[in-house]
Amino acid sequence: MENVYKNLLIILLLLTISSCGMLRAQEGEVLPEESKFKDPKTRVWFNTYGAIRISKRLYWDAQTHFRFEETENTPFIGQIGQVYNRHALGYLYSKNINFSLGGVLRVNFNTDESSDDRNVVPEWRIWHQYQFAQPVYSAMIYHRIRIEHRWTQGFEENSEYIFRNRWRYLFRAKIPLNSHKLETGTIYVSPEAEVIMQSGKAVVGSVMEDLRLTTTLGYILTPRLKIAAGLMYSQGQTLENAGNFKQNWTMRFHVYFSPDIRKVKNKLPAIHFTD
Amino acid sequence: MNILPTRPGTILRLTCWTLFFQTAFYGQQIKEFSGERSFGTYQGQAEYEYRIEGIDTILEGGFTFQKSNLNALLRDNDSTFYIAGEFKGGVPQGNWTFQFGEFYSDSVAQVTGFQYRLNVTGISQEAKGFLDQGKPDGTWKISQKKIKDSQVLDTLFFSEINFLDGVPQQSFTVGNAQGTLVGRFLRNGLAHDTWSLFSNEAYNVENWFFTDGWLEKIEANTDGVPFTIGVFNNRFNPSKIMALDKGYSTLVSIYANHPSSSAIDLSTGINELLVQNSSNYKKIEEILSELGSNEFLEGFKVKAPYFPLDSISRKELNTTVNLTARAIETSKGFLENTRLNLIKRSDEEANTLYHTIAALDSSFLRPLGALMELENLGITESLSEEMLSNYLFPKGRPSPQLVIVDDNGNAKDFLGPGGDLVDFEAEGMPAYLAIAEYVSQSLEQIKVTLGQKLEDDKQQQEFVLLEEQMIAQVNAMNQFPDSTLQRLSKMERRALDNIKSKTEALLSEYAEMPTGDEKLNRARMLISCLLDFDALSQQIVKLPLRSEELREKYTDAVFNPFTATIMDESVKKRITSAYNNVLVPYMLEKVEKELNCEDAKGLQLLFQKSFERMVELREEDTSKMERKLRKERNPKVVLQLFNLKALEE
Repeated sequence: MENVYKNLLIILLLLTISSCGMLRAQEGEVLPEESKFKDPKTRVWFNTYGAIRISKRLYWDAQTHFRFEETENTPFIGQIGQVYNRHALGYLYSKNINFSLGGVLRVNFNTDESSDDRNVVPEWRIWHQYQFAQPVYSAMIYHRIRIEHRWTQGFEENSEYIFRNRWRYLFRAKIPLNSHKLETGTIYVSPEAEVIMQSGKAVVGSVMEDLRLTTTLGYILTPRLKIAAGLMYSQGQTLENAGNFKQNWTMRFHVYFSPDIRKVKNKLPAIHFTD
Repeated sequence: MNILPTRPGTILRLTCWTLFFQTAFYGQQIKEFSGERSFGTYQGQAEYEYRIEGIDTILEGGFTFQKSNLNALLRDNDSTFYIAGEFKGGVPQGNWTFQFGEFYSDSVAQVTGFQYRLNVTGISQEAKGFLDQGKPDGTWKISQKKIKDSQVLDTLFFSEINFLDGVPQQSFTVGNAQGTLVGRFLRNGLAHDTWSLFSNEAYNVENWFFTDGWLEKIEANTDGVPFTIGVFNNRFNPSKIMALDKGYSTLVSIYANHPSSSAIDLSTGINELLVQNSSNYKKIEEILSELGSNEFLEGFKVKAPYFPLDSISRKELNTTVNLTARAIETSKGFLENTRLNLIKRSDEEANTLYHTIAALDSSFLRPLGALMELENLGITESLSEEMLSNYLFPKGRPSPQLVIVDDNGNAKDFLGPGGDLVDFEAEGMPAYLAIAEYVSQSLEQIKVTLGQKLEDDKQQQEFVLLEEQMIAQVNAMNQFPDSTLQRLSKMERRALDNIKSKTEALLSEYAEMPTGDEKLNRARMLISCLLDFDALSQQIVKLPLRSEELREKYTDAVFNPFTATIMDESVKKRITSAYNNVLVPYMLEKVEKELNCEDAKGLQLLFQKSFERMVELREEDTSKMERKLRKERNPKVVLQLFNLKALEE
């Protein structure tokens, strides 16, 4: 607990310092007469998602993502852009509602080949998420609200952290294709749309950080393991200038695993949360 | 002051005596019983006092025994009784009351005060009097009344007799709804003077004239025509004193009906009343004898002729009676045998034999049966040789040679073994014995032939029964609904088909066997074999359902947090796989390829037990076993791991 307070203090300190810096960074930027859309970049993400059941209601949310983006030399898979380590403690309120709270350490790699700045910088986040699931006929739909508090810094030497809040809402459906419900052996299609808004002193105008439209095809290997792959189109305002929009096409590959490390006798009954 | 003895010996002796008397006193102590008891055919609530003497229970003091059941009364009807009296030293002594009732109720109750009152309708019987040493003493009254709505409607029977130490004295009255009998006794209980039956219309309808116990004549009328018949006109000497009972009544009718007089009917009138009275006394005597005293008799005594048999004749008579009893049983057994009644329709010989038995029965056994009856009533020796012969054979002695006419009208002569030598015309007992022996031997001879016929038929019958059962089994075996059959896998269906074809093969093999004991045994064996086959079929038909049941059992519900849904997860897959892919195919193959009667039961059991074992294994810790089952394809090993090896062997 002490550490958390200490960290919070540091965070608050950094927050005040960085906010001053951000103002400066945006000074002099002028909104264009009409929005400019940059050429889309291509990216490839390899994501692992773990939900490790540790008690009747708690699980450990462990995600590791490897994100590659194109470079001029390697156009498609490109070079490693970010490595995500996202962890949280999840709480199963009911079968259809869960919450989680945790932290992220994202390692950002400098993909700008011309840059002489640092190659790697860390990014810190605190995140909490509220997910609501609902069965619709044979499919399931999900509403996910995720709030992130992030501290980022540039690659420049001695660059300061800037603090932003991210407000994310994701709507997703999982529609079984070869079965009447999501069960072992099911292939499902999952369309999703997520809007990521941001706020913070450093954010001037660029409130829509990202809009992601994805379609994924998944396969349930066992009740504890599934895989999925999809294509995502995304666009969002750049932080520097709200009139400029970046665009991405991303191929995503996912592995979902959900082991249960409880002892057998504690597993039963496995589904009755409200007992 | 030296009142108490002081010497130690004296004190010891005194203490011993005191203890002895105390024990003796406790031994004599009267105990009370209260509760459910049964005496003879009567069961009810008893309350009585008794003491234990050695191992005997001696009734002493008050005694009540009763039964009434309100539920029974309201539901249908109730048989009640109430018996109260006193005992002294285990013998009835004092005033006794016997009440019996057969009641039903209209179930309409009235509340009077704080009591429910219920009217009853039925028949009430009561006997009251004093018993001295178990014998009636003083006036005994017995009555039977018709009760309607708890009111006396009619007196059905009454009897009033004075006793002195168990011997009826002076005069008595016995009556029923039709009339009243009044009679007198001598001091020794012998009937005396005129016993008169007065009809309720107040005129005399029947008189029995006694003199010193001898019934001399009867005056009565038939349809208003008066007649007089002499009974014991002569004073027979020697004579004997006997009870005025059913035997005496029979004797009277034999004597009164001697050829010189016209036939009279003695079943009504005085005789009827006496029999009725006797049976009422008998009823009470039965209860009292259950309580350890059998001296309660009405004690009416009369004199009868006595023709004593010498010891040889007595012996002959006894043998005759014994042979007759057995012969009657044999003949009755044949004449009432349903199978013989059927066989005689198709078998001419059986038909003749059946009619021979019938002829033997009517010609010989009926007279001998009458002799047996007389002997049972104890009056054989009250008839002279001539009277006895005339009574038994009113149309003269039969000839040993009988003419048998069968159902088809064919007449045949019958002469039993030794029939040409017997003398049925002899006097006295030797003739009756000869007849009894002749009938017995004839019946024995017939029994041999007929017995074989019945035995063959019995076997035939058994075949019919067994085969019927077999066919019923086979028909039932192949009766599965299509919906059930459609669920079966190819392998299961092949196994089932093999059971069917094996059954057919066994049946046709059986059908070709020659009739005989071996075939009979085969039939019995087949029935049990078919039962096993049937059970095996049932097991196979159950497989799809069981597989489904096991699949459900071996499935866990797992919550997937990514989909937020519950998914079924198969568990202990190695076990289910060993059962579904190794064990069941192995058993089915056995049914398909190696089925026989001997193994069917074991195989059936293996199906059943392996399923039951699967159910158990779901709950057991099987991690070790699962390791061993990995890739195991050998059914014998699987059976061993499942702990079913013993069954398989």
